Amino acid sequence: MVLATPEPAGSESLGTVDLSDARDRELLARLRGGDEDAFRGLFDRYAPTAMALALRVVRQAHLAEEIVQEAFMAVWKNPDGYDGDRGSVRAWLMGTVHHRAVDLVRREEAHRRRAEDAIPGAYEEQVDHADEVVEAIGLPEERRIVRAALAELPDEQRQVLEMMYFDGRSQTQIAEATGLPLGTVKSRALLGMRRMRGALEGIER
Amino acid sequence: MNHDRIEGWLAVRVLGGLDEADAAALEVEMATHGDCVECRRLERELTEAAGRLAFALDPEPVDPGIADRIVATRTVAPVSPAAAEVHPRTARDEVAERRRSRGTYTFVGVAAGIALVAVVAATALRPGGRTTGVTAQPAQTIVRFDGEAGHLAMAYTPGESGVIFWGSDLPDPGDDRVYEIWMIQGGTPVSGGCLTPAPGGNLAAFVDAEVGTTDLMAVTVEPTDCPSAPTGEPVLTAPLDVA
Repeated sequence: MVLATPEPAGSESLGTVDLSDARDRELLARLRGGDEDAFRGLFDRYAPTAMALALRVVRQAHLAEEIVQEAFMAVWKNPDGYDGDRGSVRAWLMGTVHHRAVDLVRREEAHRRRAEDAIPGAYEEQVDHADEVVEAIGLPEERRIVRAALAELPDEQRQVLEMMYFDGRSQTQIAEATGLPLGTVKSRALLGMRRMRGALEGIER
Repeated sequence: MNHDRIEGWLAVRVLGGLDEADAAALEVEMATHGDCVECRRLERELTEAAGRLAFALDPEPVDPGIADRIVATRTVAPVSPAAAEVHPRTARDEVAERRRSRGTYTFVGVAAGIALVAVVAATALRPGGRTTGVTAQPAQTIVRFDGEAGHLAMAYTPGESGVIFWGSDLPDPGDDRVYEIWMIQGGTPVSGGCLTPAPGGNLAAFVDAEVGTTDLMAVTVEPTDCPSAPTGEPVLTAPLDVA
């Protein structure tokens, strides 16, 4: 499965990213003072990506929407939950959404397994196997950078990252699905993330 | 645990790839390793890279009414169980409802003391219990709390004093409020101390208490004076196997 069409990352990318985060931090600062417009600014900017992420992981629109609502509700009620020393606002937001989505998927899976133990095949027809094809036209800078970084990963590392992050599968599930030893799954995840980290933040490994 | 090993664990964790038992084991290992600059750097950088993976996806349209509903909550704060019932249903609500429909939860809007006893009774009646314990190290037991208020787990060595708690996504308990931990034996709650999560809902704490023959752990939201008896409903519970 390929999520992105390879595109070269521009040298101006990091400057653009930094400015973007500075804007986000300013919005959060205003939000701490109760500024509704600041909240709506963050929502308008990131809710569509949050929705895409939640939908990709949970694959059900109404659940994805609830995850997005919960995540932004948490931002609204507790903007101090963001720790500026721990990364960008957008990474924090998406991390919050992803955590909730994966948590839900794991709970759903546990529920499904219990149901299937009781009634074999009960859930088979409810699984949505629809895949997503991401078009690489008209992308904002951030999308272009991330897609380029993903596209530059070796296939085997990208596969593990995609199965883990976008499909919400655990390392054990990936090992079972691919037939790879668990240690190989772990090492590919680590190597892939090292490369992503370097590509996204200019960190040389 | 050395930093290469920690980095490997963290890389999988930020991608959401750790199984529950692995995640709990990592927390214990990290607590044992202690706070260090290198660990914080690794976690920050990996978390940043993972968070930005979301931008590989094309955006999806979102109901603009969501923002309106969220903003509206500022002036419509729930003040009673009845008010809480009109909240929009959430994904967690659905999961909780399924649990209730299977008879594993009997949380009801009654007085706190009664609710605690009800939870004890419901748990005791359910065959097999709900403890999700794993062994992290010889003789060490990890138990995950269940509920709708974030994630909380504890690690202890049976028969020894000292319990490590760690949590994430714990909601802010509110002004002048804290989380209080209760060890319940035979329906009698004994306070295990009060805890306040850090901004962002993370929590890691050592409590000098002995689980002993406790059959249920529970967490309530309480005033900061840490009362000796619960005044609120349990928001998290963890039945213990006390065979």
